[in-house]
Amino acid sequence: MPMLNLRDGTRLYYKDWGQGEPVVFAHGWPLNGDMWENQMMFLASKGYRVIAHDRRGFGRSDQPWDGYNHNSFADDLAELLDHLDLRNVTLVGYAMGGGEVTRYVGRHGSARVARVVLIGSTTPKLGQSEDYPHGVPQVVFDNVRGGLMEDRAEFLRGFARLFFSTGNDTDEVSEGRLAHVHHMALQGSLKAAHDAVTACAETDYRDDIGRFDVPVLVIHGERDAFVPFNATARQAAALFPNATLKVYADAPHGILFTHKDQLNQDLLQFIAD
Amino acid sequence: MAGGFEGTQRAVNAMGLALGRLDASAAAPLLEALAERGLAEARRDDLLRRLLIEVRLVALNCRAGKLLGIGESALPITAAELWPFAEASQLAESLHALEDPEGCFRAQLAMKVPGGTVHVLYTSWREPTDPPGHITFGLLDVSDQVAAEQALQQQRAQMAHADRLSTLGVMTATIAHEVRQPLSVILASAQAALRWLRRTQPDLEQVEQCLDMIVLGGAKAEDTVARLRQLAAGRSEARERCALGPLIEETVDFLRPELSARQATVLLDIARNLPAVRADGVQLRQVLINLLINAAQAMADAQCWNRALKVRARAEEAAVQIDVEDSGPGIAAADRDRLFEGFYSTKASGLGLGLKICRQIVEDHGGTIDHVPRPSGGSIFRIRLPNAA
Repeated sequence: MPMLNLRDGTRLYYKDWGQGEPVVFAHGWPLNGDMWENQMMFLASKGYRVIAHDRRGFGRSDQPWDGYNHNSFADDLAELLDHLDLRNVTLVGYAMGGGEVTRYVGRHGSARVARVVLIGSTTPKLGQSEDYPHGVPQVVFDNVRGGLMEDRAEFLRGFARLFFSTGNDTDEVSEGRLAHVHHMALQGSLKAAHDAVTACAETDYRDDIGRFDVPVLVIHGERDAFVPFNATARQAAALFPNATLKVYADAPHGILFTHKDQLNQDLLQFIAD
Repeated sequence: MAGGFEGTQRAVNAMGLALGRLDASAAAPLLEALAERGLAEARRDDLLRRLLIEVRLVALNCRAGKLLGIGESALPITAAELWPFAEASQLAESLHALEDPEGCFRAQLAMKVPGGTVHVLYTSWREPTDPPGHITFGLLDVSDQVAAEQALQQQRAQMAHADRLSTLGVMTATIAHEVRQPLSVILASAQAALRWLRRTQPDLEQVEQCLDMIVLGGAKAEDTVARLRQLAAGRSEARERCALGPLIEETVDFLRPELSARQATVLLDIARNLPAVRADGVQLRQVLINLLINAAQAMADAQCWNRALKVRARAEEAAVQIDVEDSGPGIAAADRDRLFEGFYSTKASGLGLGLKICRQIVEDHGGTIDHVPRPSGGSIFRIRLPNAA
């Protein structure tokens, strides 16, 4: 298993498939790099080099006590890109991973970056605050932390269900897929999941967005239950200097799975342009 | 008017007290006979009838005269003219004061007055100045109070009805699903039947199968409409033995489209062999529907990341306990006390009647309903219903 030793001794797991122009994927809370399997399989077979890490505290990476904030996540990503010395990278971030790649550009610049894709992303800000009324009320995150502390495994089972849910009675998800998401979520640490909720809720990426000089593709499920479209993508599309917005009608948060073909095509088209 | 109250005249006038006196001196043998054990009902009724005639109203103050609509010149009159026969045993009890000078008797009665009745609180006792065989009584006009109570009862029934109607209003997903599903079965079967008939060699066996499906679909639609009508109907109040397990399962099943529209997942945990309860099934369904939709709504409104809804039913000592548990944001301590009050809601769109009516219904069934906070913030609504005897 390739592991990168980070500045604080934390070992970061990543996988590195195929050859070609690099595409780097940043996963969502509280899963791991395996969530990208459909996209990585597809793009690697189309002649791209695809790389996905497990964020610190999640998946197969180490579970240190601290470092669960977006500056630290962005610095971990910077170390990975430097280590592999990647150029002309397409950064693809999902949910809190969208925040991670956005903060990366804001903090480390776009020297290595060709373009950015944000899927179901928490940008420009997920949590509500006085200066960001569109956001999700803070009590929602209190409830998430409470649920994790009370019975993490059971809470994450519910999370997995909502991951695929749009509220239509046509929702269909296989037991296997639910189990897969649940399993990925359980692999992370309680501390990482707990602290990352706060990071997701409170980090404001508007200054990072202001520093963007690369094209951005924003993709969002219209009926995302965790990262509501109105709270995030709708605002983000208006803030990025050069953004294209694609809204998947009647789609849940988990479009990586439920809309994988459509998503793969949109990714390929944007990267090949 | 006739006297006997002169000593306290000023106080009586100032307070507007209605006072009167009964002469029961001729009633002693009747009272004795009534005290006998194992009296036949007909005999007892006859004794009471005679008691009402033997006891006489001999004095009234001005206020009592006005209240009862009796002029001074009419006195004395028999008790039968103002005392309702249905309450005659109360008069007998009231007269026990004759033997017990310290005693005091109270009862609420609807006394006969010209053109109707007046609700009074009747209090009787023996004044030291009362002649032998006489007792004094006071009347307090409670007509307004009784009317208000009756109006309140009526209002409660109307509120419960309005709640059911408004619940139906939010149950659009369920109603659409329940009606559409059998309709599409009927339509598809009818089309299939036509195809089998139009063959050059019509296959009547297949047509028969299709018609069976149509009958089944029709029966299901009819059943759905009947259930919805029951909820929409103004009155039910029929108490019968209810098996709670099937009632909970049916209700949750019925609401499934509603719950999934709010992205809630339901887990049922119902103990086997739950004892039956005596209940009005329609009303209990109303309580469950209220609690389930509330819970799903609370989790959706709070954008919860885990929307698990659990219904647990357990046999407790002499009761059945039903817990409706959600993983929502819970209810702030400040709101908990007022939760079951009317017109109090934490929801922007809520009338705030649902829980008040739930409590009313459960208490009418001799049970209790309470809110139990969960440590992580969710809520449990706990219902306890006594077992059917």
